[in-house]
Parts: sequence; C-alpha cells; structure tokens
Amino acid sequence: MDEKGRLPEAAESTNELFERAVRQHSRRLLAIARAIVGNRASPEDVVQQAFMNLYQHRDRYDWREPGGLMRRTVVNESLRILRQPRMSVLPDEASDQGRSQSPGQHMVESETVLQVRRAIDRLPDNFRAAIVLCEYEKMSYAQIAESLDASIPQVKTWIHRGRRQLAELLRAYAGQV
Amino acid sequence: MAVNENDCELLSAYLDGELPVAECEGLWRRLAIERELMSELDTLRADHAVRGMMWSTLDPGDQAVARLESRVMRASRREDILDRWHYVSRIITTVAALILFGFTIGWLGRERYIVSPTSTASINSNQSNHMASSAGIPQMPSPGKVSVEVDDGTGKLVNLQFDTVDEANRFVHDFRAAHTATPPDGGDSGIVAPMDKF
Repeated sequence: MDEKGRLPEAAESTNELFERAVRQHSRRLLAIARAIVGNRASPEDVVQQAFMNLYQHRDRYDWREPGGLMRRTVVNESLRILRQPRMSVLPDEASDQGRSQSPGQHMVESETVLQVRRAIDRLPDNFRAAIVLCEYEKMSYAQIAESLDASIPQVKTWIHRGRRQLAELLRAYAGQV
Repeated sequence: MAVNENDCELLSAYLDGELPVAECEGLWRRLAIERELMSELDTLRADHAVRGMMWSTLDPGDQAVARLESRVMRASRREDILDRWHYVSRIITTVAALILFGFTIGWLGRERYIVSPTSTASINSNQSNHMASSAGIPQMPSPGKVSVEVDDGTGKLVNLQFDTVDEANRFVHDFRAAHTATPPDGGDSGIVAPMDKF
C-alpha cells in the first residue's frame, strides 16, 4: 500500500479487493470509531456495520483506493450511532496493556488518558469527530470538511471550540485534583 | 493586548498547519511582540501534547482487529449467499410471472374464440357470393361445373362444386331454409343463390 492508502493494481475481484482493504484498514478504523463513539457503542460493531454498508454496494466503488472511502463511512456510521437514543454505556477498556513503564508513571498516565477520554466523550458529536480526524488522522481541514459534509470554516470553528471546551473540562478536573 | 476568540482560532489553525503563508508571517510578527498571544500558543501546544497521550492509547490491539476481520468476513459471506438467493428468487419470480401471463392471455383468447363463431355464424351474402360472374352467369370454374362458396362462420370459405346450376340452386335453397330460422346477425342466410345474380 502506498501513502494514499492505494492498493496494488492487479486483476483481483471486487471481493478480494474488499477483503484486502478490510485487512489493511481495520486497525486504524477501529481506533477512529473508538475515539468518536467513546463508550457509547462498541467500536467493532460500528466498523463492521460500516464495512457491510460498503460491501452491499461494493460494485459502485473503486477498491484500489479505499482508504478515504472507508474512513468516511466509519465516521458517518459512528455519528449515526451517536444520534440514536443512548441505550447503554460500555466499560472503559484498558487498551494500553503491555507498555513498559514504572507502575507510578503508568498510573498517572492512565488517569490522565482516562480524563482526556471522558472529556472528549462530553464534546458535541461534530466537535469530537472533527478533532479526532484532525489530530489522530492528521487530516487537512478540507478532507475533514468532505468527510463530515461541512464547510472548511465550519470545521475550523468546530475544532477550535472543541479544543477550548476540552481545555476547560480538563482544567476543571485538574482543579478538583 | 488581550487574546480574543479570533486569535485563538488563528493559533489553532496555525498549530494544525492550515494557515496560509501570508497569515503565518503576520502571526509570527505579532507573536514576537505580543506576550499574551505567545503564552496562549504555549497553552494550546501543551493541551495538544496531553491529547496526544490519549491518541496513542487508541490502538485497538491485535485481538480486537482479528476479531473484527473475522466478523466482517463471515458477514460478507452471508451477504454473498443472500445475494445469490435473491438472484435465484428473482429468476423464479420472473418465470412464474411470464407463465401466469401466458395462461391469462390464452384463457382470454379462448373465451373470445368460443363466442366468436356463434356471433358470426351468419353468412354474409355480400362476402359469400363468389359464384356470380360479372356477366350474371354462374361461374364455371371447370368445364361442366358450377361453383358455390360458403362461409363456414369462421371466415373460411368452402368451395362446393355442382354439375348443374339446378343442383347448385337446390343446395342454396336447402341451405338457406336450414339457416333462415335463426339468422344470427339479421342478415341473409349466408349464401346467395346463383340465380340471384342472373
């Protein structure tokens, strides 16, 4: 795969290209879904549903460059899940297993990460999605605007306001500690 | 000078590398002289670093990735089976619809065929009078023969030949007598005697 997430051209069937795309992008898309839906839904369910939405109309898409398409679908599916009535809250996962740190440092970092994650979960959906795509996916404002079906100035505002709200939430937490 | 909301948005875009070069140069000049603005930039950078710690924990782990891939592959195979089933069921439905359509058309045609002969049982004298020649003499299709054509009720003309004109007239008379009782369309008996044209 090259920098643009483009798959090597070969005489492969759509199903083979789809399978290959799933294997190459699953990890990153799971992380995006997890960052956007937080503990309000299972990221695996979100990504699986997004993949199946694509698979049902697989003949319409160009599977040689599936990165952007899959990312956009996962973001949209995540936002769709968030708009539904909240049914349950999943427990926070300990995803940072196996990291070699001292117990004290690890505890402090875990607590900080947990607080940041909780603060991000409290942001409005569009703010959160825009920040995740900007900071985690390193996408440009134009790409984010395309993914979220918004204008560039709107994305710029969402990111700025999201960061401001995050900062306020984290300072409030720091004040409590 | 106090940092306002627009300045914060400008700094945020600058940290993301989204500020045009011209605006960057203006911002650098301001950063050099405005301490509050520089302080705000440092705060934004620090917040960015804290969030960076969180982003690095988002990696789902190998097990979750393998589980997802397996689920997606299973679901896509189920989707393939459903696709094939839908394709077959579409063909079966189309064939059944065509057969039903054919039977319906056949049935309607049959109804019309049954009704038609009774309604056209009359023999139109204008159509069936093929034996008269322009000279008003019975037509002689072969030497010594007199020809009479009869509409059998379905539009098919039956050619009858007689040895003499008298025989032909008798046949016409008898045929007319047999059909006069119930002329279906109120017309003639269906045959015009050869004598009519004399």
